[in-house]
Amino acid sequence: MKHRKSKKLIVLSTFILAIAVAGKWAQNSESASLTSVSVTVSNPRPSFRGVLGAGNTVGTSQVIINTSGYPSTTTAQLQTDDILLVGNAGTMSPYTITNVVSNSLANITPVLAAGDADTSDDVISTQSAVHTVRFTTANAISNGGFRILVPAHGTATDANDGLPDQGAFDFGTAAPTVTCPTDITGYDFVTGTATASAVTIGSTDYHAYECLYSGVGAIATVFDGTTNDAISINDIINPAPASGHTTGTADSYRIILQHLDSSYTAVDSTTVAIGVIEAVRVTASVAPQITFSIAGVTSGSTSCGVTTDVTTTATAVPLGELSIASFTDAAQTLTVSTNATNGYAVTAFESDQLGLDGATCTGDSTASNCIPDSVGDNAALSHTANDEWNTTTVKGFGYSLDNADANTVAFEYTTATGTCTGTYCAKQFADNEDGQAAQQLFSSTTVADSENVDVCYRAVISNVQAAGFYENYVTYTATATF
Amino acid sequence: MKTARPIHTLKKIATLADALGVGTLLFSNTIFAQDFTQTDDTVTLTAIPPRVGDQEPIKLAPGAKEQVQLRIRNNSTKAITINSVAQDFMLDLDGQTPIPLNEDSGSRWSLADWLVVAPNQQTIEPQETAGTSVLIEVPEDALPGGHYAMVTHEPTTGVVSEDGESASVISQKVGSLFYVIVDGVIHEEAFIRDFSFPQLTEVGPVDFSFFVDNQSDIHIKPQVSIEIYNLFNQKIDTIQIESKNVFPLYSRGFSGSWDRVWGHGFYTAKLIMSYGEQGNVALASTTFWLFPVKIVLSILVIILVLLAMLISIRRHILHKNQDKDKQIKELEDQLAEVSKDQLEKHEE
Repeated sequence: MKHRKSKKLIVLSTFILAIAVAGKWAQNSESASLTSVSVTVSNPRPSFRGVLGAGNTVGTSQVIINTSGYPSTTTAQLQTDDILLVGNAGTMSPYTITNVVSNSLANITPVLAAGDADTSDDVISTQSAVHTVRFTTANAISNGGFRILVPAHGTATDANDGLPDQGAFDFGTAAPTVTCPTDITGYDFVTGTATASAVTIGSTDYHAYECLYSGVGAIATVFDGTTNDAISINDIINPAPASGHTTGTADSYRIILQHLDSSYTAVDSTTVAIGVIEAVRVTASVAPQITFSIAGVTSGSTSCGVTTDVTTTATAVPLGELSIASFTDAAQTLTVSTNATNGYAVTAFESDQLGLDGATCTGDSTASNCIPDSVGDNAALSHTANDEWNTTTVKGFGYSLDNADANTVAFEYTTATGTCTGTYCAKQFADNEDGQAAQQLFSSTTVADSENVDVCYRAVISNVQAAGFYENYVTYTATATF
Repeated sequence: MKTARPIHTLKKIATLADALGVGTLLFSNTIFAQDFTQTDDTVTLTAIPPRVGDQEPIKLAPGAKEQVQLRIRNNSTKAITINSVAQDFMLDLDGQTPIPLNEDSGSRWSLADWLVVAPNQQTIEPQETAGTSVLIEVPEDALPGGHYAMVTHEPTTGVVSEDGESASVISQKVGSLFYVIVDGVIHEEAFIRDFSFPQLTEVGPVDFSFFVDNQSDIHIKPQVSIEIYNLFNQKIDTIQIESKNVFPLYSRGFSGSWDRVWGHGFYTAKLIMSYGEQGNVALASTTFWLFPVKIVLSILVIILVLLAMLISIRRHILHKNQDKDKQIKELEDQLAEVSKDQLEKHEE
């Protein structure tokens, strides 16, 4: 009998336990987490809250901060154009950062006023951000609301004084604007509200930002800013660096998103973390400069309307075995960049005409050991005037230009002026041996970014040209304009 | 130097290898194809700064010395040995393009002989920047005024072909312009020449041009503005001209345009140029018309035609009315006459 009773008791206990577990399970299934929760902070920089160090002087444009013992101990948290409040709390004057010099020193404008240069005067620069909260509901809760809880300072009066708090977000002196989603089916939102230090969970105080609605709600409603609006909160003041903060390492803060029911009880809740970290300061200096580049062009390329026959390098134009009956064409690409005001100019001259084994070709020599500078089809070609040069019976060496994007070019192979019809207009290189001054090839009267011109070389020899190896030197000079 | 001609070097080795009977094994077409792409090897040099003594003048007394630091950056993919040299220059006819002079110019404006470049040869690794000092040593008998030169940097990698090919060897120079002022009594005098607008412009903008003729012992960088006055001598616009250097005893052209589309007639342009350390000023003025003559004439003609048409129509209507009055009067006269005849007959 006793055994039977105890058996009944065990069955009853098991049944009650099963009901209790099932009930608990059922309760848990109602209190689920909101999904796809994210909080985006428009400005993750920590606010600056420090004090002046020793050595500040009234009338100077430099401010020295104390680098120990306060939430902010380095100007790495500051940037050019940040507004800096300096002075004693309640009578602080605004200054603008013009330059961060070192970890303890920054330049400001205007100069430090009387009363703002005392050691341990407060130095504050607030950083505010827009918090955008995106999420997907887990349950359909009628006549409920969404509440975002942001960590606040433990002392209520400090939590909403508009001054940055260490390790907590300041509410500001005026309530931040909470922008709730536009009404959709199941959700008829009222205007968002913000309350400083409204909620305490455990030992942590939180500012509360709420969007309440009437309607039945819905399961899996997406408030992601695309499908439906997200919730955004303006002008929350970022914390000053947390205790033990390391520059370049984010301070982490927990933001709680709750889905409230009509009795203001949190049914669903999800916690996400956001980081507050200094911006990376990028610095660079720019010197005035001019860059000149020469690149070879491979054979078979098209330049100046012709196909090149030889491959050039940056330092040589190997014309190879020259022909009596056909032109040998080659090309190089010249490029100039400069930030010099009034631009640049590129000039060119040759050391001499092409001479056999580098022999001197005096004047406009047509001796058999010199490949003369071409005179063009109309005998008008010189180092200053261009002429058409399409006839292989006109022997010699010359060049033309093919402009890609230079601001101004002396001429181009298509420039139909004078006796040139624009098929292959060419010029001679200025002959230094003959006392001819270098000639400008291309230029710009303003700054330039990779302005390109192809210089096209052309040569054809006569049937009395002495066999051998011919050479000369062509010099290109790039400088700023005068 | 051989690195500049890899094809030729390899060809020589290939010939030797062929002679030894191992050419086919060692030098496939693939190897030459790789060489082929390597020949397009850009040489890029940067000179820093492009001008020395332009924004912040270098003014030295005769006998004085000053050292200036230049930098050269090798933006190429291989190490380059650079020769740095000082050269005098003259200006092209455009008044702005420096033309390097390869020999001692002996010019009154010469500077190159006073410059000592050290080091004048150095090897710069790829993507690295090297420094070069330029010592300016002004002689005791130096003439006061401006003295000018360029310091150029030139790779020594250009070589003459070694394997029987005709070639032009390319020398590439990039450099900095030097502006040095020797202290003393410096004559400053400049003139404005050929300041002109088109006599008549119907629709703007209106182009203008002028030359600055610098007769000083020193280059000048004139500050020029042009004021535009209307027929009633009221200033209606001011045009600022971009400042440019003008070499001693050179004329440099300036041009621009008055960005005004419609004008109402006769205008006067007054050019004010300040220059030099002594605050000299030069003035010039010219006059021009900005007036849409053709458009105004066309409108006038249209108005006249319309007026003529209106007058003609009015006249036609008046004439027609007069004709009717005349006809009525004639009919009335005829009626009166008939009535009179009938009355007379009746009395008879």
